[in-house]
Amino acid sequence: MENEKREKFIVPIGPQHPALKEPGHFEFTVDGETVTGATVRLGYVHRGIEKATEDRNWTQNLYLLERICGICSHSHAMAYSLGVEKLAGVTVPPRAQAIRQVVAEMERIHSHLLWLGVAAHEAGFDTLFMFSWRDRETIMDILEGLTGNRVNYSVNVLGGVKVDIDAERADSIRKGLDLLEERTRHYLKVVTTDETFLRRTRGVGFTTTEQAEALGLVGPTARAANVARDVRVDVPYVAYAEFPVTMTLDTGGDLEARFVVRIKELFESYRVIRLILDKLPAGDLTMRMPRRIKEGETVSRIEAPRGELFYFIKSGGGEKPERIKVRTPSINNFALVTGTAVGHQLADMPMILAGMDPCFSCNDR
Amino acid sequence: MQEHKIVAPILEFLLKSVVLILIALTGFAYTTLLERRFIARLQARIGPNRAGPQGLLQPVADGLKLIVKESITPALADKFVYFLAPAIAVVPALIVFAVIPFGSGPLFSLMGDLNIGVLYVLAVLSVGVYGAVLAGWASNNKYASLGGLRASAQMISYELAFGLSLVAVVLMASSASLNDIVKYQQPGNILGWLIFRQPIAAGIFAICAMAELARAPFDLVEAEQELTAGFLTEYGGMKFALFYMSEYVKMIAMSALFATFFLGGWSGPFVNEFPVLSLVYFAVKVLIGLLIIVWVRATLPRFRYDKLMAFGWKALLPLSLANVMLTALLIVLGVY
Repeated sequence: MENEKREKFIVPIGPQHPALKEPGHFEFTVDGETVTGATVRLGYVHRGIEKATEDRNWTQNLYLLERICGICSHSHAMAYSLGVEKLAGVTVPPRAQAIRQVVAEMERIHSHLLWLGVAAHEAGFDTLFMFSWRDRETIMDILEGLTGNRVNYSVNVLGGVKVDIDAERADSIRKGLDLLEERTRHYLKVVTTDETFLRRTRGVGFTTTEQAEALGLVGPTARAANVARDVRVDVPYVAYAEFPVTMTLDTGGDLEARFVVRIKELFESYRVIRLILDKLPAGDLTMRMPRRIKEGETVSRIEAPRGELFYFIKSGGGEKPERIKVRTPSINNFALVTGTAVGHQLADMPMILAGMDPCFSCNDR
Repeated sequence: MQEHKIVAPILEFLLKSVVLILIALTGFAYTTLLERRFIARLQARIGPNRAGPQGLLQPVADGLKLIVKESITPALADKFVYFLAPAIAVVPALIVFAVIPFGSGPLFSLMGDLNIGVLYVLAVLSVGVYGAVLAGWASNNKYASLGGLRASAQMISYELAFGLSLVAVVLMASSASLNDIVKYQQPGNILGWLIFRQPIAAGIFAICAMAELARAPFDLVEAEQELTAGFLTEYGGMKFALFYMSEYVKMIAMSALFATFFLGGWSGPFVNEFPVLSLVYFAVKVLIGLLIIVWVRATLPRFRYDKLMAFGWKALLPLSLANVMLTALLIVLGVY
């Protein structure tokens, strides 16, 4: 009886909790400090965006969908644009595709640096949090200089991009990347050598490759468990075929591996941005798009910073889409939290949760 | 005549206590500012610099804010214990200063030369844990009770090693009076400081002091990522401020104790010629201790609860026991 009672001690985390910057609700059943069960409840920031797209025309939706997420705004806009362009049968000029890729990789840099800070904060390592967020300002400044905005860059238009990169801009971007690369090397050293930090990450939230496959993980979280899954490599979109990235894999499967994979992806992003800046194709930035999109349906997949972002777009031939369905990477990765929580310490829960880089705002839409 | 003999010492004690508490409270206020400014520097931030020049009025602003806050009591809380807990936390932190010699001469220590000073320190400090435990229990909140449980487990396990590290000091000085311990460390000769002759004890003392303080990296008691604010969750206004005060006053006290036990207390050059210098030396040593405490917080991530307990019981306790035995052996052999 007493044992039964003790096992039902439930620690709720969220929807309002200092560990969660966005609302989600987790219930952890604990025995002492050991977690014996975990459940997740989502949907606190549902805004009805998918339904709202049906009342707006194709161009308006670009701006609406960009606002699904404050961190991967470009990913959403890009996935949508690519889908609509495919439906309309419009070929976007290569220069525009390359610029889309530059901004997408910049977004990955800022997202991963942001994540590094959040994850360090969950471990009670506030200094790393402050440092990585300070350095993130470099990439935010670059994005602001390039697009005029820090968060919703609004780079895409249907049929191309709005912004161009001239030689002067390219130089300032290269300078920023040099600084970031040096700092990132330092972070990689910290997360792989700091003893106290390793004690919080090594072996925590471990999944084997098979488990990761079974849980359906995507993005860096899956790649940290040696699951070779990266849309940029598997099905290259925008300019990834001309400027390919190599997939970053790690066999660790634990939190440490997730840190390492994300930080190594930063180097890959720096490299590919420099490559594109050097060999930016000449040409137009936009193609003319029709107001009405041909009837049909399509699927558009891209690799957002958190993993595969999936758009289903259906057109009835009018000025407005008939249906848009978004599946974000976070919904797949939440399975990691409920799947690996049991047996861990309560103190590991925020770390495991942060380790998959949840985006409640994307997820709930 | 008879009256004076009774009244005068009482008055002296009263005056000294008031001065001491005022110093401790001012110290508390400015330690918070020191920490916030210093940690901001370490983290490449600026820290509070708006209230007054260099943010010097920030503690005043914080205090005012906490005083005028509405005092909320949770509906199902055990009211008496809920109000009692902050007091239990803060009083031991304040009265531990009574035995610390701030300078040379009897004037600078409240109780003069208490011959069981070390015991007094250990006894008083261990009362503080009741504040956390009772607060966690009385708030009737899950985060608070888990925080309170963690607090009690953590403080009790580290108290053992803490006490044992002091046993080595007492063995060396062959006295439990804090004044004697300072004098034993040969004022004027830096190699006489016990940190050089008892480095293991000094290390254990420093780690255990951090754990007793429940400060980063041992701040799992109030780990905000897991337990919101631990046992402080349901406290607000001045009741919260009292807990906060106890933490920072204890921080000063621990730093002062470390200086006394291992850094030669108030000793330093020219102390005999100018006794006032002893106060300055002591203050500088305490300040350095405080800065190191803040520095550690900025450097290390938080320990995990199970690792913390394992570290306390499996590493620190055996080490401190071995250190006591080694010290005793060396004294018997006449090496010390």
